[in-house]
Amino acid sequence: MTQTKPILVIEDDQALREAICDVLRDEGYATVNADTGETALALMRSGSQPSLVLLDLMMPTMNGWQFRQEQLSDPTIADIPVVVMTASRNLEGRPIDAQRILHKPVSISAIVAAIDDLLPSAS
Amino acid sequence: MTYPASRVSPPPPDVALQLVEACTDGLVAVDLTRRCLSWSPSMARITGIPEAAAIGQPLLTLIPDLASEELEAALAGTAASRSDQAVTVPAAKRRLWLDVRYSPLHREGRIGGAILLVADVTERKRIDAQMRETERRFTTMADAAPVLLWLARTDSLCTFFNQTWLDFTGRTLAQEWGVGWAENIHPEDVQRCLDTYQACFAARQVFEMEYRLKRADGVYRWILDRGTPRYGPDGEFAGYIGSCIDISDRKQMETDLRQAIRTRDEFLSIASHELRTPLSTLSLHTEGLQRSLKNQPQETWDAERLQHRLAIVQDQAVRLEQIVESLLDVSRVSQGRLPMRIETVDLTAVAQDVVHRLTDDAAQVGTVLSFQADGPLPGQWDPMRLDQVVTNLVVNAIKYGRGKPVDVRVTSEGRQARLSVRDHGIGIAPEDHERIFSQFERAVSEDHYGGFGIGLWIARQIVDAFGGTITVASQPGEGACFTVTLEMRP
Repeated sequence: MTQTKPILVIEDDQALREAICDVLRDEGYATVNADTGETALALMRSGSQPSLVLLDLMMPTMNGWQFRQEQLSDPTIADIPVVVMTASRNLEGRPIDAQRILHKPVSISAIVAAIDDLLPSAS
Repeated sequence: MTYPASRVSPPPPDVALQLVEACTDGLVAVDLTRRCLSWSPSMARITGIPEAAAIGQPLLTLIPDLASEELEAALAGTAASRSDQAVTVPAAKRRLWLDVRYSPLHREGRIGGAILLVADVTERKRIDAQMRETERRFTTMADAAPVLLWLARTDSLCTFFNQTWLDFTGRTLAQEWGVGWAENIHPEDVQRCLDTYQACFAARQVFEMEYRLKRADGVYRWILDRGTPRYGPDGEFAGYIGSCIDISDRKQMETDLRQAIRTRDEFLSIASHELRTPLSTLSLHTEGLQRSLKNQPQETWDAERLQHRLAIVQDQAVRLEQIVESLLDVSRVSQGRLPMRIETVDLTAVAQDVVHRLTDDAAQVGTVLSFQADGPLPGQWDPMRLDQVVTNLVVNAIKYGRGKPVDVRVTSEGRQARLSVRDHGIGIAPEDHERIFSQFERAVSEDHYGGFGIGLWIARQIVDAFGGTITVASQPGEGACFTVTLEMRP
């Protein structure tokens, strides 16, 4: 475990947000979290850049699609990989540009596999 | 013997006799006293009176109905005809229809009587009557039929519309005649209709077409028109017959059904979405617990943390149960089976309890819940359903309140108890104020806010059942204030 940068969990549902952070910590990852896209962007731009973002799509004010658009348009944070977590089974109508897409209900093994895949140095 | 000037020469007597016998029409000659001088074999066949019984007898005794102006004219020297003359032959007890040509009989240079050329048209008249009866029967049936009927000639022009059609369009047969019927077809449909009609007509094909036809009240109705070629007894093309039915109600039902299916599918999609979030939390914690118990030595188990995680699991189970209960409420309300247990309830106590219960949830998103009441406000309501109304309103206020304060107030005015829930959040556009109380409706995009879109709908159903009202006052960006008014009955 050489990863030092935390994983940023963006999820508006508090219980789920805490659950993801809990299990990631159990797996040895450092985590930070945000309940909206705006909070997450502010966090990323403040200098404490995460190694990877776990992103929910449906959120108040700034949703996952809007967050991703903002992130990709900002060169300082555009390269941070994003794993989307969605309850939707059909994203054909609203495609999302992300490195991985996980379908809810998500499992620890699926989250860890996605992270390990995108951040080989983290495992 | 003198003949009219037009005749070149008289036929020889044997030829004249054969001419008379060969003639299928009857020939009668009478003298000026109207007694029969000659009675041809065909006349005997037509009337049933043999020549021997007729010769010398007064014609008008044998066939009284032949007394006519035309007979008198012939006797006076002027030829005349009479068609479709109904006559009775008393001796033979026959009723006949005759076409009679009356001509003067010239004898010895002067008028000596009259000649009658008698054509029996009884059979033709019978067939005509039959055809008229058939036509009358067809028209009666067509007019009584609940469908709109039309007939077209071989040149594709329509010549008949039944009364049902004329009553439907409120137009006359003259207006509909030919291609007049197309004037009442919806402008968007008329060209397609005429194209189909002409193409199928030319190919002698059965056709079906749907179009909007203007009814007498000016409303366009969807019509299904089926045209079929018709043929005469010898197989010759005789035109088309068409029947139309009003399918507007059926089309509306199809549209409603499609909408209902779409709504159901959307609801199922939202429902599964709503279920997956607590299921994710539940699943992550149970999987985490399993990993911890499997990978860590028992002596290192953190009992407090395990209990904390189990409590979260329990919370998610409760949350799932609430979602399932909401789903069942949709079904119950839709079927008009929302059970009510009416008893004396204090609205103030119910609202205070809800505020107390949701204070922590509100705090987690930075919202401060405030509560203000005049005092106890008792009424006859179902406590559980009343709690559901207040909960739905406060949960919505927290959800859409952008972390700003939410104020719950319970007041009274006369016999009216009033509950208001005010937030300072995203607000609702005036055009959405009524829509948000409908099933599966929401004022915001699903991309931002979850939920079934049933909270306010259920709240209104319950308040309606209590005999009260629920309204909203709001502007976008300025928050919203929902007010429930109920009648107090201690």
